[in-house]
Amino acid sequence: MITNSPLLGARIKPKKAKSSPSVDKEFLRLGKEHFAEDFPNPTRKGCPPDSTLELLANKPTEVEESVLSHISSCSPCYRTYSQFLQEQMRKAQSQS
Amino acid sequence: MDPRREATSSPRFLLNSVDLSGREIHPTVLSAACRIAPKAIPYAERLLGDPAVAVNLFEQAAASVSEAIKTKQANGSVVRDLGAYLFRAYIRLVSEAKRRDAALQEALDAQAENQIWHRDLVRAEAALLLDEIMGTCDRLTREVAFRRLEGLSWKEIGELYGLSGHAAEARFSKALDRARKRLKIQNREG
Repeated sequence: MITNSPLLGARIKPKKAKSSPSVDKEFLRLGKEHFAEDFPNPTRKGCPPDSTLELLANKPTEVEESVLSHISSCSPCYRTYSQFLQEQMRKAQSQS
Repeated sequence: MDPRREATSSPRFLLNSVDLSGREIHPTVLSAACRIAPKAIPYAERLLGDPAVAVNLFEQAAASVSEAIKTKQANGSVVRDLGAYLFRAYIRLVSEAKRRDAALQEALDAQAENQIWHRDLVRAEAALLLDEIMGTCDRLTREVAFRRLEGLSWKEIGELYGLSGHAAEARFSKALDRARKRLKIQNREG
C-alpha cells in the first residue's frame, strides 16, 4: 500500500539556513551618499567628458581603468555616472 | 448638579470635586482652591507649559490636603490658613513634576545626541570601507561595488559581467571582509 509517509530510513536533508545579506541597505545608502557628496571637486580637475561616463555605465570594458578610479574620488562625476546607471536600469526594466 | 466648580474670579479654571485618582476634595478645601486658583494655576502653567497638567496637579494637591485635614481634625489640630497650606502643597507637586520633566528632557536630548553620533560613525565606517575597496581591489570588484550601490541586484550585476549572482555577491563580500580586516573594523552583523 502506498502511503504519504516518508520512506523509512530516508535521509532528510536539513533545510539550509537563510544566509543574511552581506551588506545591508543602510550601508549601501551611506556608501552612495559618501561618493555623491564627499568629493566636491569644484574645479572639475581631471574630469572625463560625460560621454565617457555614459560608456562606463553601458560598456565598462571599453573605458580605461583610470576613469573608474576618478569617479571614486570625484562626486560630480560619480553623480553623472550614477544617473547613467539609473537610466540603464530603467531601460533594462522596461525591456523585461 | 455639576460636581465641577468654577474658580471664583476666573472662569478659566474648572475644578473637579475629585482628583484624577478619584480621591475626594473636601468642600472647604474646594472653596479655598477656587480662591487661590487664579493665581496658583497660571504660576504652575508658566513652569510646566501645560494648563491641563497644572489643573490636574492642583486637584491632586487639593485632594491630598483634604486627606491631611481629616487626619489633623482627628488629632484635634487645625489648619489656620487653608489657602496658604494648599498653595504650599501645590508648589511641592509642581516642583516634583518640573524635576521629572527636566530629567525626561535631559534623557531625550542625550538619546538624540547618541543617535546623531551613531549615524555619523556608521557613515564614516561605510566611507572608510568603500574607499579601501576602491583603493585596493581589482577593476571588476570596484565595478560590482558601484553597481550594487546603485541598487542593482546581485543577479543583474552577475549577468553584466558573465558571473552568477552568487559569485558577484561573494566577490564583493570578500572584498568587504578584507577591507574590514585591514582597517580592523568589526562586522556589525557579526
